[in-house]
Amino acid sequence: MSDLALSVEDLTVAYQSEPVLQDLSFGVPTGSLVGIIGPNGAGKSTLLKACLGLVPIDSGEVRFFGAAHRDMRHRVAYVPQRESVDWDFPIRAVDVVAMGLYRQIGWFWPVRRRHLRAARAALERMGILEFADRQISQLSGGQQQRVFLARALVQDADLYLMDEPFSAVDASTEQSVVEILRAIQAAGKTAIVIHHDLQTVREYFDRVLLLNRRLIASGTVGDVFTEPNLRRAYGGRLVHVDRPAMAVGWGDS
Amino acid sequence: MIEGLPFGNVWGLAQAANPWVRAFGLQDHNTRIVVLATTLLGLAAGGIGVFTLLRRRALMGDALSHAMLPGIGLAFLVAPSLGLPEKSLPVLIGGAVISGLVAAAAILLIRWRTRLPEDAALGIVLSVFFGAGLVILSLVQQTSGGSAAGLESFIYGKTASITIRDAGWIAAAAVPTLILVGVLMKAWALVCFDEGFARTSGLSVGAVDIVMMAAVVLVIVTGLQAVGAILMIALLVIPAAAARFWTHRVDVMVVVAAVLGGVSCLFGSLLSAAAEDLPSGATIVLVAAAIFGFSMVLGSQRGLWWRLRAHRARRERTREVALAAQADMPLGQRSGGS
Repeated sequence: MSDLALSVEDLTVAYQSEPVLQDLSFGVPTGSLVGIIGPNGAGKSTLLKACLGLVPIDSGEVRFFGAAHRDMRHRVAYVPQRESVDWDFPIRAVDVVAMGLYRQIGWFWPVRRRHLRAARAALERMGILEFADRQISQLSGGQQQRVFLARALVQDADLYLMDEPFSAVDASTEQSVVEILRAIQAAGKTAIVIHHDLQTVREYFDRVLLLNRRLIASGTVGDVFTEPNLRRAYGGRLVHVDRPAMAVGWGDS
Repeated sequence: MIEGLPFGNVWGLAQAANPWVRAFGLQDHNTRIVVLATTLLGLAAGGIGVFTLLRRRALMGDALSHAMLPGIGLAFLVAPSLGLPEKSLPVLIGGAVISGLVAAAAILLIRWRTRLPEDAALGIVLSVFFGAGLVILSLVQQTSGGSAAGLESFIYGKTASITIRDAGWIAAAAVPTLILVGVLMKAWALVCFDEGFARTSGLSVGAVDIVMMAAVVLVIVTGLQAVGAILMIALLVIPAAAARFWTHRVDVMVVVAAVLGGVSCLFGSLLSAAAEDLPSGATIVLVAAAIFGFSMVLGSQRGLWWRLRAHRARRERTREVALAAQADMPLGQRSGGS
């Protein structure tokens, strides 16, 4: 059990009696980079939020490292969608990153110099130390995304859940997100990432979770990222599958 | 006779006669205490106002303050039968808090049981409770004659109606609120900025919201006498909004808003103490509004004046670049040239 960073059993989530996720069961082995793939409205964000207890679960069970999320908060870091917050909020980039340390600092205690140092170190890892003292609305979309990733990095977690970190970012941000994912895996840690670009799945991830309200498939990229599975996930909407890449996929399986 | 008096005495007589000099010179012990208390209130309201603004709950404070009026009227009626003096501040405040809580429950009930949006629920509750409050207060004043005089200070605010004892109550509520703002600043800021992340970090957003609303209710009831129910919202919103023009950091914004709120209350209540018939709520709000206007235009972070200058400078640069480019071009290619 405990060699699974995340295990989900018979998970069902519904908004106003309309099922969004139905009977999902899968496991994510420790040390893997998992891409969650599926069409718009497939319930990808809802899946992450349900695992983290941000949306109510109708039935099923979610376990992080074999335990409930509330006992594993210190080992799980969450990177929400960039659009989920108001970037006009009066706060500096370095203060957003320090939020990742609040649980550790304690809710009633002030942020100290060493916490800010840790936050700056995380910004440096993301390559945006020079923007640490900027108000967050003065950052580009890619820089904002990197601030969110730095906030997760500073938590020094064992499992990272990321909601579309590649969405609408520039090439250099995309590159540094990929480097961070590699570093996470090299440290023996796990990342689960909602991803849109089918072209790069094979390059970025070693496991894939195909989702469309139900679980279509979950496994290694070679076993699962196949044209029949993609067609089942996307229905008739899938028109731009990268055929050479697919051919490599068939060779693997 | 008058020529024979030393100059200092004439000045002394003038001082004694002029309420403005007496008020602004803080010569009455009473005025001094009351002004100190309302300034503390302004500090607390400004500080907590930042978070109601960032949490987009500013109108909730407005609805709650208006909703406290019927409770005050009823408390005035009920107090004698409990063997308490009818104008005892704790009883009136107890009534205010209870009707404020009933109003909050009504707002939540309307939102959960109907499909009406929150602003509609706030509008309904605000106006209905305020209407009920006006009816009850006028009934109270008709039936109890002169003894109810001064209750209208809860509508418009009147510094002169505050006794030294009341000032003690105001300070006793304002100081802990300020401490609470300081201690919970981090948690409140996180919830206001990123609720989902706050919850995954193990923070109970419900508990955070309840403490915030409780602190807002506390500040409102404390401010009822000095500012009044109608304008209490101004003290929560205006200093916080003005502070936004001076900083882009929440922690600094809290300090700036608290200071601006304190200054507004200080000058507003001094003005109202000097001119006896001036409702202090209105004068406090007008002082706050002047500070807001100043901040909006000249505030260092987003002030209109600086933005206009930056815009002009940009336009000037673009023109210079365009002119320079044109000057570099061969004569025949210049626009308009032939």
